[in-house]
Amino acid sequence: MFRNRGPLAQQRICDVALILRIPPRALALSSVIVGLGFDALAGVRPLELPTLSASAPASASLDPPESLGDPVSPGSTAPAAQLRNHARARLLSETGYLAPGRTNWLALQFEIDPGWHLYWNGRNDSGYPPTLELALPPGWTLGPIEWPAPDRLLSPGDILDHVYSREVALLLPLRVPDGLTVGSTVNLEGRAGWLACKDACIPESAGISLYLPVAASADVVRDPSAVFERFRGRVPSPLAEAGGRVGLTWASERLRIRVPDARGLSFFPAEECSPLAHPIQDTSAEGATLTLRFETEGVGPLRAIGILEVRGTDPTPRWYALEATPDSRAQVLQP
Amino acid sequence: MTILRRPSNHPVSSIRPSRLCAVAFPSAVAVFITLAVALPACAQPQGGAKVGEKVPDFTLRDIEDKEHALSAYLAQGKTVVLEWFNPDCPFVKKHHQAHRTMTELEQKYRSKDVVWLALNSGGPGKQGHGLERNRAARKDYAMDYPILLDESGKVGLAYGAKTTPHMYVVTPDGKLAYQGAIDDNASPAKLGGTNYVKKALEAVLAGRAVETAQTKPYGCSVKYAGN
Repeated sequence: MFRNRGPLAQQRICDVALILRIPPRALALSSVIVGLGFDALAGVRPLELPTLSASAPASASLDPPESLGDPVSPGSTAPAAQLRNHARARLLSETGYLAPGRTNWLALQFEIDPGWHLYWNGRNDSGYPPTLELALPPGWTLGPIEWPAPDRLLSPGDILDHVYSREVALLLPLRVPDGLTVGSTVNLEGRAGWLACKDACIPESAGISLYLPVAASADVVRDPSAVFERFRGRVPSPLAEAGGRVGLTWASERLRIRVPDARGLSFFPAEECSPLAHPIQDTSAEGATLTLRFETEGVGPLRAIGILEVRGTDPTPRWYALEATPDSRAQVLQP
Repeated sequence: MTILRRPSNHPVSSIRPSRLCAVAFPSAVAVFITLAVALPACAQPQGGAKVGEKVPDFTLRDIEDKEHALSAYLAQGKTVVLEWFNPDCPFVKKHHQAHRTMTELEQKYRSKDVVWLALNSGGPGKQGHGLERNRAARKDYAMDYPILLDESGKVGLAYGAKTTPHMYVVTPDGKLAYQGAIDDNASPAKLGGTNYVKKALEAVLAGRAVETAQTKPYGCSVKYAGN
């Protein structure tokens, strides 16, 4: 059910820490807190931690908190500060439970004011993408983040950005080790930061939290507002899933992308993509062919890395994770 | 999926963004860890002013209505630093309010025949535009150097200025010695460990080659007219 993500899904930072809310009499854990992305949170205070002790047990047994809360918790509280922001951030759980010993999907969802946008984590002329800080105990991992395909935004001055507007959810796989007590509750707490822009750009942040009971994996409660469904569909698929529809042909510094039945194609370069000679003209076109011309001077080996958007007769485009070098076999996959 | 376009009145000069070379490195493990983005030198961006080549000349009026011609400064043997500026952009405020990156550098190199010019290429009605706003900002930020108004965006576009701040260092021969970010931390709050303009000026004044001649600039987009 969960698609195997390609290199685009590999993020620089994968470890996120989780703070477990522990009553004072409970066991202390050593925890590591790592931020995702760069420090973009203006005015953020350090998260408060329980007392750390040198020896941490491999598995922690948690006393259930006084109030369990809704198992399909909507996520963050909405303190007054959030209302001044131009986006509201929430941490959501797909199932409403944490199942030990497996991957649990979370989403960092942003609801964005009309006219404002946030940034994708690929190549943009301005801005920066959202960041998330959480604290996790040893053995818990979060990531790599799955970034939905953005919209291309061209502004006066040939400023090209790739942005999210109205709503976006970044998908986060949380791996939880065996040994958590079924019936206990985990409190995930952290802080999300982002740059919201319209005509002005404003760095914003908000605390986020999510209470989740620990359950055996038997019962799966789907997220009722279908956030996961909507945004999983926007996460690029591996190119192999195009089933041979996408033809890639290199001719020295040019990569020709051809999708025979497409009405339009766009390419959103990732940060690691080799520089394009004509990044605005070459990255979007009507029809079935896109030709990317790369810079040749001082750039090292050519790597085309990014998202390919294929527009056809369906109302929704399809997105594929593209990664190609001139050395790789031309990926004209046979159906 | 939708391509949102804001129509531009300006001819498309071949301005191309530089290669992204951001890499994140985790700092030491502690209670609270944030990651700084290091921005090492990148391949040459295309379009606009190019490192190693002559930059476009311009004449612009500043907020006190005084005219400044780049060529006049160069003829006097000055090294000129251009700082693309928008008083309301949080990244500009990082360097003018939270820290005094620009004014301190300007002061330090003033006696060494370095002229520092801020340019505002914001169009009418855009963020940070206008005489009053920039006059107030110059006072608030205690800037001892001019703010030139380029509200048509012609000079910004000729240079390929993308963000505020976006820095250019021009040597007296009219060639571009450095362009890109002011430093290597692209966040709106933290200063970078390396100030690229400082390093470029040191090299230029010592007659050495500039080690990092090109980085990807960061900041708010320049608010060109044409929406």
